[in-house]
Amino acid sequence: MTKPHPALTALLYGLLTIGAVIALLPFAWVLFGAFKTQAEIMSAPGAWLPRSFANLDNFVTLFSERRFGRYMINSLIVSAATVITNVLFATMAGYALAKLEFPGQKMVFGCVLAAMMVPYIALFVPQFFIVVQMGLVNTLTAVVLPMAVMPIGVFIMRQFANSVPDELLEAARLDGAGEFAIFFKIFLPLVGPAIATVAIITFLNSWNYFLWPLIVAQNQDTYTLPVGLAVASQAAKSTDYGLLLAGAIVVLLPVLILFLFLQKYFVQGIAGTGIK
Amino acid sequence: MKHLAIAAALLAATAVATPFASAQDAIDDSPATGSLQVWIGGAEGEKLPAFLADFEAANPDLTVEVTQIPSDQFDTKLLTAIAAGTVPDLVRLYSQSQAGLMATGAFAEVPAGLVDPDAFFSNTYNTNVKNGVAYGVPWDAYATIFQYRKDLAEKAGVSVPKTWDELKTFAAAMKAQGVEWPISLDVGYDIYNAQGLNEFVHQNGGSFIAADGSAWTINSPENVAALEYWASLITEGYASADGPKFLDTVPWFTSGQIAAKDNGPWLEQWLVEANGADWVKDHLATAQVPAGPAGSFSALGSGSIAVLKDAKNPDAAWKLARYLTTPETQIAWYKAFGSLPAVKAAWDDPAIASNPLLDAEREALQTAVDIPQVSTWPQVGTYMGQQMELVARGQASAQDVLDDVQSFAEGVGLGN
Repeated sequence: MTKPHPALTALLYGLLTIGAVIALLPFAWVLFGAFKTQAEIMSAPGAWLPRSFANLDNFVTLFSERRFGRYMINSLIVSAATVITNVLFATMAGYALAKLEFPGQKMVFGCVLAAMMVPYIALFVPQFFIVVQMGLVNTLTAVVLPMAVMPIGVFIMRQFANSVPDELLEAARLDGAGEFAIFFKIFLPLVGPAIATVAIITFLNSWNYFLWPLIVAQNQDTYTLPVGLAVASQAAKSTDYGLLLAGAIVVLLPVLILFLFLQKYFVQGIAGTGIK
Repeated sequence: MKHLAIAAALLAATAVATPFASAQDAIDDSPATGSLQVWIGGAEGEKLPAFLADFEAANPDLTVEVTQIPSDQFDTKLLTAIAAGTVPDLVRLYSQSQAGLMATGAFAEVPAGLVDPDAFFSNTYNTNVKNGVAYGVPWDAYATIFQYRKDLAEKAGVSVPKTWDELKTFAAAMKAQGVEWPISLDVGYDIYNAQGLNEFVHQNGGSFIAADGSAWTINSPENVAALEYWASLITEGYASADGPKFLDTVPWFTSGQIAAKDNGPWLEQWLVEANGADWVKDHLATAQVPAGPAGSFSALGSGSIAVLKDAKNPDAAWKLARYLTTPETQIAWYKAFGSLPAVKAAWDDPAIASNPLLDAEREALQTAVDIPQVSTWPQVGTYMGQQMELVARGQASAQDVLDDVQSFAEGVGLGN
């Protein structure tokens, strides 16, 4: 392959840089806005940069007056529980659906696919009734339960499990390993990338989930971050944009950190499933 | 909205079985006890707990738990809770959406003698009355008023417009002075367009709904003429069909790109936040909205307090409702939060009476007109708001559009 002309390379880089800057502008505005006062944001024509990056009032208010610490802990508990249950149950279900033979296997997989196609909002009220009947209203358990096994996770694991050679599992079986030993010692180490994908997808879903946690919560002690952000930023007849933008940064930060570390798996997950 | 529709549909199924509200016993003067759950949307929930310290001190055996709920999801959450029977004791409702909630039949009748209906602006009280029975008490009230740049008006040598004709003279003089869009109207703003048109319709002697609430009267000749007048402000170049929208009002108003708008009293506060109190003193003036052939009518907005039929502590809930609607508490809440009182007597307090910008507000509240208080108004109003844009852009006639909205409204009906 011949090397492209240096001018062409420069042009390409130039265009990509412009594209990247345009894509980043809204994020920059959010970041800068987090350091502005309401008057700065509302003033015309307005400035890009805040008067001072040392103005941390918005962040301080969120954590000292608007209970963001509580919401953050709730969100972390919910997301951690969701990721753990999904990874555990989805790998087990994926393994069973791909590698074990049992009556009704196809039908079970069909149900998983069908469940993926039902919009969650259709299940919303029935799910709330169930939670009420179980006496779980206003608990984080109720927030996690409907998300504990997401069909998309089962689907991804089942597809990935198909690519694990039967011979490996057969060999282990001949060596006298039981089903659980095969699952934990042979199968799990082979499906690492799929586990990462499921973990990322479920983390993002549960971290950003808004409506269900709001409905389940009966007081603010059980609010998660997105719900807390929605109430924290409301001001009289308007919105406190400084708080809203600072809150958005707080909500975004863990996702951003996660992305930096797991970039490879993010891309793989999106490319492999077509789902963001 | 989609969420709301689903919750509402489910609710419709359960609401049928609910029997008529039984009249509450009178509420005595003894201190309230037990625990009281309050759900409140928006920023008020942030301020209310501290504000209730006095009430809690007077009722030492009562614990009030206030839960702040994102206001745009308040109805969804409350409807789901009503359907599942996990309701709080007391909620705060908005006149824009409370008809849909009240249609569920989940609210308790206001006990006899709890409040004096005549103490409130009558239009705010009537928002809560269904078939002669009140299901809530007004808490706060606002009316749109004509807010304009007095410095620009002075420069243009025009005084505040009092009639539709004068409004156009005012706008033409402003335009000659270089104001790009002298008047600001809500155009790309769905249901709020319709709420804005509701003012013009009443100024012209019309109404979207029959006086007894029994039928839609959207395409009446008065309404068509009102929409024509509204659209003429745009087609004649006095207002833009493209803005400003909502918060953009502040920079447009500040830069003099627009010079006047029918807006709620909070515009003053927004401008103070953005430009400072001195700027507001030098630039902003308020007046009654210009009168049409039938008079000056502005748009009413109000908030109410209601108690759920399934409340666990209705006695304490009503006692809190009574407390919040005394003139003293109303004025204290105005000072703490800025919500204008629904109780007329509270307006005599110097905190309000001494602000000249609120004189017009007080007068406007006497006659301000509500949106149609039927549960289908959100659908009808949203559709109307979208169709009005066609008239504003000269793509359809007022008659055709209102005929279309009328048949849409008849299809949707009046709800329950």
